[in-house]
Amino acid sequence: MTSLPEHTQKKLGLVIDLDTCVGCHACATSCKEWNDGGFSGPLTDRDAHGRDPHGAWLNRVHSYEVGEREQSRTVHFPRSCLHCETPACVTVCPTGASYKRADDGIVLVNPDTCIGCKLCSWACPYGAREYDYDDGIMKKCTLCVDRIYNETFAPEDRIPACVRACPTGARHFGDLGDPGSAVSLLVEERAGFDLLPELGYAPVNKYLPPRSRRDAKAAPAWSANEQPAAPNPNSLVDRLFAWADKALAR
Amino acid sequence: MYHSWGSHNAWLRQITAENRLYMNRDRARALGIADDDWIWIESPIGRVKGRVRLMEGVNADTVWTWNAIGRRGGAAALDSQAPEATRGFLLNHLIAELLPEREGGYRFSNSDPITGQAAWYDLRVKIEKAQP
Repeated sequence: MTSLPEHTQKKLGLVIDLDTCVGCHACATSCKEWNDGGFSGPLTDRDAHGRDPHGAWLNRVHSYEVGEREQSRTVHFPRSCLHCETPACVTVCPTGASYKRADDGIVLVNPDTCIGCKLCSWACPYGAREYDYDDGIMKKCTLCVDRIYNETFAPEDRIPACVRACPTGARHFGDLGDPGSAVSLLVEERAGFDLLPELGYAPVNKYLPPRSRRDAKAAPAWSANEQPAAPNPNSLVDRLFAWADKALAR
Repeated sequence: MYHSWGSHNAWLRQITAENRLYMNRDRARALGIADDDWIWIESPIGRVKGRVRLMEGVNADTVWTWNAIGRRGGAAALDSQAPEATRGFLLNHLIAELLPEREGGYRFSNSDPITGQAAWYDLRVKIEKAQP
């Protein structure tokens, strides 16, 4: 069994905004692209052009519909390692291959000592660990350790690939152990929350909840009798739209 | 999601290798269609078979799908029994190249007159339950 550091100097992690995530999978594919050639690479792909294509991904996106009728909304949920403060995936590891770094809190797997027993994937309640069939070992989010400290990169690139790729700015990277960091302030401001806190693994990554709908509850439904406002002949934009409407409606 | 020539990409097809027709839950119920049912999607020029996924957040008079995932078996070097061939479908088979006749009998192209974007205009389809 593997021990955890008593204290980590930093708590590096991600803050993921479920309000602005559009489920495009750019984080998932950019993660796979970077890590295919990085610390964890190559990442396995099985039956790539066959009946059941599957492989190792360190970040996945799940989409759900929540609520009924007019009040329904689609929520996209990106899922990757949460770099817990007390991760069971590390303490169950029989070889010491899984470990949590004392300096920044990142949870990693040493590929040289991992025996692929999969105990960690049973222990992780977040499904964050993936078995690599080709290498016979476990793979997981490294928080892009091979990017974030890489001084040959421009400063703006020293962040995880998923954060760099997100087109809506829904992913944020920083030190959640520093109450004054941008990510900590964001969590404070937007009431960021833990996934399954009752299990006690104290995830470092936080999620920001979707904001309430503007028409939540008592708002009147849209009426078919309502007509859009007539274009303002003095507005260039209105005239442009009126012309486009006319051109497209012929 | 992705389009046309990307649909045999080894990573993208792990995200999805089949598509569903997304339908309003109440409307589907009124038509006797349950979630995951197979359906025929029929337009004036043809029909294709696919499976539905019911959802709240789609207008009752509209259906949609991730198009360009469906493929003929063996196309793009995929297995003949790949999900793209056995479960995916392609709406292109329902969409005419030309719009119906206008005054004077001329048929305009079914594309955006400004950008040329194909399949620009609305297409009315009939949905009915099918055998798998």
